[in-house]
Amino acid sequence: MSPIDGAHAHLAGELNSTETAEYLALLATSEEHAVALAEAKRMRALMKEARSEAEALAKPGAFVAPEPSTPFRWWVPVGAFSLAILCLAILIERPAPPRGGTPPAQTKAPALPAPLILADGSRIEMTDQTRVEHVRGEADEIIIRLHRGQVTAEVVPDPTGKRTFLIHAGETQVAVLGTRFSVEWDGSSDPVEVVVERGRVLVTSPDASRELAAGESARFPSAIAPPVAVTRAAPVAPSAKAPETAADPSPAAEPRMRRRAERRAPSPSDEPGTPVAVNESAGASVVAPAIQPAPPASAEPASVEISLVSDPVTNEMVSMIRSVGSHGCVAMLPRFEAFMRANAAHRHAIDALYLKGYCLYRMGNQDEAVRIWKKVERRQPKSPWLRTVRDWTQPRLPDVSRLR
Amino acid sequence: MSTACATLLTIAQDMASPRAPEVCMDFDALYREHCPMVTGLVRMMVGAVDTDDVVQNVFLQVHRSLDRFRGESKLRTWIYRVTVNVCLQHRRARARKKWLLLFRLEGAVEQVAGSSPDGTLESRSALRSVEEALGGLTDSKRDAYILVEIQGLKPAEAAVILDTPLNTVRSRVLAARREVHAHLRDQGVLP
Repeated sequence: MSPIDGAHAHLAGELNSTETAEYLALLATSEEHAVALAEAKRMRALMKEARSEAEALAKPGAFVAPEPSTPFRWWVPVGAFSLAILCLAILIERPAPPRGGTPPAQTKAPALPAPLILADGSRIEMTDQTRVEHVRGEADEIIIRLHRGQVTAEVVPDPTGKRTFLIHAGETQVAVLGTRFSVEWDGSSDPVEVVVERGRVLVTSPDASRELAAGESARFPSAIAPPVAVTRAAPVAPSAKAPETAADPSPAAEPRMRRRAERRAPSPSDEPGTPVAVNESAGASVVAPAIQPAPPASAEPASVEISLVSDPVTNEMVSMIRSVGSHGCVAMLPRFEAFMRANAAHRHAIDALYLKGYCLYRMGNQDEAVRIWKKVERRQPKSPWLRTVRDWTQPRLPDVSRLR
Repeated sequence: MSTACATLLTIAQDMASPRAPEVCMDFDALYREHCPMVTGLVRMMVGAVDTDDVVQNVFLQVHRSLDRFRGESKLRTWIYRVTVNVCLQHRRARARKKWLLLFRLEGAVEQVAGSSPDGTLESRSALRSVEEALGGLTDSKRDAYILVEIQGLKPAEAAVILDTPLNTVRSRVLAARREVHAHLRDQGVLP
């Protein structure tokens, strides 16, 4: 036992009687122990003094009992943090535009201008950036002048047969008798495009006039121009569309693809049953669907292709695909659903199913779109739509990568 | 044990008693009785700067927890334990914001070193010497040393308060004694 330890233990009363006797014996003989004991005594006195001084610093005023404080609500910060994470996750999960330059607005259908309802109940729908003018004619005459854009007219049939309904686009005039059709013109020297969904229209261009029936679409020169090719509408076959749509599956992109297709020669690999081309002179250029390549622009202008399509369901599908771009997905979604209900066994029902998924995807419901596309895959595993879906959505939607 | 403590113990042991207002009534007495002890202990454990705040926190904690005091130990020991726990919490919190403490310590040093109008600075030399000596100890040794050597508790009581084995407390006190002794001798405080 060192002198310091012994001194402190002795003073603290930690030694028993035997140890105390031994320590006292050491103390009597060792000066070092005596010094240590004196230091220990001083040190203990110092500690006592320090304690007294420290306690003297107390401020023993009356203790004011605090008001009962609100307990810490741990769930408030936790809830706020969770909410913030949830909002962040929702923001992150919002789909970015797919590859291929589809505009970001695809998750939200663009707002269409309010339709124009005429006195007889006829309805004129316009796409964005469309400029029309309702020219007041005679009492039984309705004249719409299209300066730019696209209008789709749903004209109430006139039982008296006296009313005249005309749409002017440049020098081209479209006269109707109860039908649904659309007229598109960009206001330049490009041709005017007319698509007839129901009924019949009579199109008069500076060079010629032509009557179009349901399912037909045609382009007419907006000003005096040499006569060009005319073709009747052909069915849309997804299998033939794939090469054109690998980069952009949007049916709305069809006019662009159509123009490309027109510059291409007809492909011999078209779907079996593709309509036979028939030469016929006419003064208009008729638009073929993207999958039905028209003769190149440098071809003989007088040559005409007429696709003999007699299937009204196919015509309706063609019309609907063309309408997606102009009417928007919100408007077209119920039409695809109605088409599927009415033509469940038809070969184009699968196309309508894909397009329903397309509309949902554009409307921001990606999960439902993927579910529908998987259903398309189950029904038609080799559908070319699926390759388009994969190319389009794989980088953004991991779930779609399972679409093999 | 004072009357106040006896009353508190009685009430605490009978939680169903309708005499709860007496707890509040007697809390002032409890505060007056134990405030010096708590202040001294807090001053030694956390230093001069935060003493008032920590003492206030100790009695707040005592006030809140008095209902849970089961009387299994002495009231004084229980208050010691509360005090030590609050001091340890304060020390941990202070360690987390050490960079803030730097500024406060600078102010505190200036305050202590300045002239004291009532002349109490000189009378605190013993306290300052001890505090300097304690400053060289580790936290664990200092806590054990303060409780045993300065507050005069038995090692067994200190072991309960610190929630540390008895032999560990003893060895820490022994080591702290040597270090403090050596420090005071070096400083010329001891004869």
